Amino acid sequence: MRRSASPRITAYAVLAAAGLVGALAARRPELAVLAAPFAVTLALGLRLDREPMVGVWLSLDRDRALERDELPLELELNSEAPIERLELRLVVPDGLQVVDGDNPTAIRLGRDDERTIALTLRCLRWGNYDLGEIRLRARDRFGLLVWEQALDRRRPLRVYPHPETLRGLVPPMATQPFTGNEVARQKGDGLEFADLRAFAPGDRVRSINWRASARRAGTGELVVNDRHPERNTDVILFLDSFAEARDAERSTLDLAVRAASTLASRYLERRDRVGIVSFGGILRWLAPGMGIAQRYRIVDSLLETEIVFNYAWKDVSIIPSRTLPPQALVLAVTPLLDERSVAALLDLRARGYDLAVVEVSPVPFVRPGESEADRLAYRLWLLHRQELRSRYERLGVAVASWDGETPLDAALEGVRAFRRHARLARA
Amino acid sequence: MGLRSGNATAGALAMLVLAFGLILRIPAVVPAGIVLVGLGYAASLAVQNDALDARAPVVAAALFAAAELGYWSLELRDAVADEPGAYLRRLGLLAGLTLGSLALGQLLLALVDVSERSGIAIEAVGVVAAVAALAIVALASRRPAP
Repeated sequence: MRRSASPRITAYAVLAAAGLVGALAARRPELAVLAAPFAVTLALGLRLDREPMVGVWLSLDRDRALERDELPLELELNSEAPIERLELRLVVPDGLQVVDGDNPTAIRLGRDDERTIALTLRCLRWGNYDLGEIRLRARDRFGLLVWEQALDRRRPLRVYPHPETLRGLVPPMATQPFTGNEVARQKGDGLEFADLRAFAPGDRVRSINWRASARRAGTGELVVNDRHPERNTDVILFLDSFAEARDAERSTLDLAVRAASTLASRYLERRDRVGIVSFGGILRWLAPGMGIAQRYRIVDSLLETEIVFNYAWKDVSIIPSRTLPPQALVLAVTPLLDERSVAALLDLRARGYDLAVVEVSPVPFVRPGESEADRLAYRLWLLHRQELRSRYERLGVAVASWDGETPLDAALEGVRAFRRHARLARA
Repeated sequence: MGLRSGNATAGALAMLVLAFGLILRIPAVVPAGIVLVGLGYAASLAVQNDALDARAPVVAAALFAAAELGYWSLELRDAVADEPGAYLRRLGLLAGLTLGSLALGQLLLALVDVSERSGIAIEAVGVVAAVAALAIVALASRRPAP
């Protein structure tokens, strides 16, 4: 531990010296009497000074949690020698909050004493945390000397985004050849009835629709049922991490990661292949995959997402081609704040990708200014955003606005409705 | 009357300085306030006769208690939650130290009283006091071992 003198030690030394020298100069022993308590306290404090030996261990209830979870934590302390006052502070990173227990706290430890300090943390924001930087400050009995130490008892803590409730997902336009839960538009073996057609060599007998064949008995033609097969889909989550709008408590990136995590989990539950492209100052991607392992890979990748300012122009050509398989549904989660991501999404649409946009609205984070010019600028900005959404919609791209307050499901319903109408229009 | 008003002025000034320092969290004002009161007391001693002032141990204990309380109030400004009973223990320690100061002052006065006031003894006490003061300052300023 690092020893330092408290302000009291210098003050008492000065007072003792002044009193004693004053007594000598003025030839008044009463001044020495005034100095005596300070001198004796100083001498005793320095004589009895011993370096404290404190052991501290940190234990976390678990190393993974969800946003809004409360997480018990224990700090175990022991000391060989008595410590009159030990101040202990656990450095809590932004995004976590102590909701129960005292931090910092001061305790007294006796000889060979063991103590346990219990704290409860609330996880306010998703992210990767290293928890366990502990600051100790011990004072002697007279408060003259201070011993300080910073301990590193870091334990990793992963806080996953809180999942949003979703009743339905955005169905893709096209499916992949593998079995899944999505009813394909193509015809083949499946459960969902599609159409009737004339029997052809190779058709199975059990697919013959005998009632329909009977109705066409005059033609002597057998009729078989056509069905839609259940297939899986490829879904690429396109997360825009170029820019964010933020206030003291949350940001569009927080909401975007929460939405992307929820969507990834729900698509993976349907046996779809899900990949992710984090398009921003740093490009990150994860090739499509399926299963629980892919779910953890995606969420871990999302936890590392951060806004990195970068002025370089980037377009979709820098995204590895295997990350964007043909006929994949690209679901963009973006605040539509940066021109580069806006242009990249338009480019993806122009290349024929099935695209839908969940706009994490930055509007709740922006307050119109006081002056008339500020209010005018605010209205122009809103109009510009509306025009941007219209531009996407003219290209057949559904845009749903989500502000974090309304359920994500409501925003996705807007996407689904738009895509239903878009299908009808094309038909 | 003049001496009393001078002491009262010194006391009031010390109190103001102390209050100012405690509000602004400046630890250096604690000894400054003590020094101001001590100077007032020294001035009152200067105009008195040569007899020993029997109130000195009480003044010493009061000044010591004031300094301890001043530093305690500065420490309380840190947002550190103390465990139950900490304040009582601290109060007990403070009371013990103040009573000890009182006893020490009485002992010193008694020692001086029995010795020759105008002889070599007082000179010797003064020299010892000065050496002790220097030793204390040297001890206080030594660097901790790495």
